[in-house]
Amino acid sequence: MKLIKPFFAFIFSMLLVLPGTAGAVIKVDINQGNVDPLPIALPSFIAMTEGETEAGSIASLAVQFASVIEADLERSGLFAPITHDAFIAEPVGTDVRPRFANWRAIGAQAMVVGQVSLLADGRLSVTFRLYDVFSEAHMIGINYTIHPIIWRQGAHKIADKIYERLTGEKGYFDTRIVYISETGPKSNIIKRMAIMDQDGANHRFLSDGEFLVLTPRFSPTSQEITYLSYYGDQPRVYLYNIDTTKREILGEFPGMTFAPRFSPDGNYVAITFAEEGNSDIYLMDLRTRAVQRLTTHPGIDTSPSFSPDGQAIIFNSNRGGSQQLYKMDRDGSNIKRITFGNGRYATPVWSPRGDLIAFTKLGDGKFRIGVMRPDGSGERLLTDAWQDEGPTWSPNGRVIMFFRQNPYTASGAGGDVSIWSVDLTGYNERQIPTPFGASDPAWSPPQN
Amino acid sequence: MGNIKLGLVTSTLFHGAIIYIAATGLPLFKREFPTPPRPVSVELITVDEMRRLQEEPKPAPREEQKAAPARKVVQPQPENAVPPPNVQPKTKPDPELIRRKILAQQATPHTKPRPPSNFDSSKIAALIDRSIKEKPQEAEPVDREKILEDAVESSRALDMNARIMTASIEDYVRQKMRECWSVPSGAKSAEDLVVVLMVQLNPEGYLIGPPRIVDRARMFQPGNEYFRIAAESAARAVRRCEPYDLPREHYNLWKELELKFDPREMLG
Repeated sequence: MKLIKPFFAFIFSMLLVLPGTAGAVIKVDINQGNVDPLPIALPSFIAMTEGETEAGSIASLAVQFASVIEADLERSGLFAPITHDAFIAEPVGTDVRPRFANWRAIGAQAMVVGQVSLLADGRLSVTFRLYDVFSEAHMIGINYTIHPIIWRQGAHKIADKIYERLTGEKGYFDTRIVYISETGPKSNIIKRMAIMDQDGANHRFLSDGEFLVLTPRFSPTSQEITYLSYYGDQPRVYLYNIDTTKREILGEFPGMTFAPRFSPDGNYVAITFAEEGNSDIYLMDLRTRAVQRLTTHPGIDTSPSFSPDGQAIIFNSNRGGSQQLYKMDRDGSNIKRITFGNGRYATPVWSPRGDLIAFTKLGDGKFRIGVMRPDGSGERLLTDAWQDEGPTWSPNGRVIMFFRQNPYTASGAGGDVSIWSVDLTGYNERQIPTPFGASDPAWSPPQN
Repeated sequence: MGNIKLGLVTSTLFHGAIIYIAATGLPLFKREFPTPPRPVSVELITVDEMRRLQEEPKPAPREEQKAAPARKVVQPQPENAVPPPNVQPKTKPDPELIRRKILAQQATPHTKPRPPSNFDSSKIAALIDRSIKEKPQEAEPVDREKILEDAVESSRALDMNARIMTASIEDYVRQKMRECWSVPSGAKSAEDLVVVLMVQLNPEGYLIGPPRIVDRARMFQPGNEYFRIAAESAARAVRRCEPYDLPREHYNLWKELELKFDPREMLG
């Protein structure tokens, strides 16, 4: 008996000790999830007061605020707004926490509550709150005081904040697009410079079509653009301030200048100057108007684009026999070829976040938009239509806009141009609505 | 008489206290229902207003500058702003983990298996019974070798069973997360997105308290916005997948789980 007790004690202790995994916490490596858009509930904002403004009644603005935000988020491809028909209950105001069970029940992972009221001075007070429906955590809340005439801008700013809080990246909804509007018969196309919000709203023309305009490019730091225009027979690069409508010619070059592009600090413009059949890249200091020549090769060097730190420039050149992409330091030294693949490359544009270069690739009878790393590796083509070209980046470096031309038919029809956007993953390709044919888009920095 | 007075005073105080509590309620029992924090205030101005402001000698502060200090007040401050030293998510492969993975692949071809138990608990009962029976005959020698052999075999079976079960639980959780985890896709460097969560479950498979984010302090450090987004998405996935339908008899194995969310494979 004396022996048996410790013996069984030993046996049972072994039973407990031997299964080593039983006592330890199970560790699970999770490498797979889904990349479906995040379901988000965006009920109409609540009108806290009555009243009329030059942009409509408070009640209608409250509804439109939510609609504009919803459309922005949906267009990004990263969010799936839930249809309002599915809502079990409407929120009552931004000072009351929602009943999250109602929103979990319809599959929302995030939700926004907002309200609008009219202030005594005629401005709007707009408040929104973003909640994580599952943890019931308040993620962000901001109150804006806005003049009614810029209510859409206010809605885009709210969409930016929601996007930023849920993705970690800056939003790009409070931005504008400058592009070339094309109207008239194919034999006599009238090209006018136009500007609109990134969602197509607030469209207006910046030029009357008397002179041909091409390749508008936004300053990364201000509401200023540089573009190419033909006054008489000579193409020249111009500088134009959208807010003041002030216009000036950039530099007194004896010949043709084209393909302008701002430096990231907005103080310089790199341009191409062609003389006697030879194109080279020049850098102009916008404050002093001093000009520095960067390339001296007899081949065609053009389409310069700065790295976000302003220290390097990517451009295309046919110096190696075919049109390829090259990189150089901002003083023109240290030139390196970065593309060696089949086909030709044009219009390189460095991403604002620095990790990629977008380009137009010409080959197999098509023009396609692609991205690669700044050293030329990791090339990926994002589109596959007949003719896509002229990429421009959203300010957060996540979306690329470009223009697409349809092929001509045997009868001479077709050839229409339109603006499109695509996520840098290659998904979510969408057409941007424009009143007429549209080409050469340029994305603005975020507005103030 | 004095006793009566004392009793009256005590009784009055006691009843008074009860009436007070009945009327106002115990503060401790009041349900916390926090109102949302104050929103940050921002003023948007038109281009004309902006131009007017720029023409004035002292320009008004810009929106972002205005918003920044206010945001500081409203944003919840981290409980522990100082990062714990050397707390990094594991990057080297854990040999135990690899072993489990191999085991999981070998032992569990399907996603939610409940393998038949090799362990026969009646054997232990039999041993105990025998010991009771054998009690009066103390002098008789016990077949120790046999008992030890049986016990070791049983424990091996139990060990194997636990391992198979562990692999099954891992598979099941992975499968659930595949449905519930909306992978954050924003970050430039995917290393920023690896998140480890500790999760406690009750026997019904529901979470006990919120998932704990390992390296939580990092969430609130500037420059770690992507980590914060990743941590929130992982925590959301775990809540979204409730309840976890795991075998109750093995609750001990899954009452606490460590989940490492790593989207690098998905983001390429």
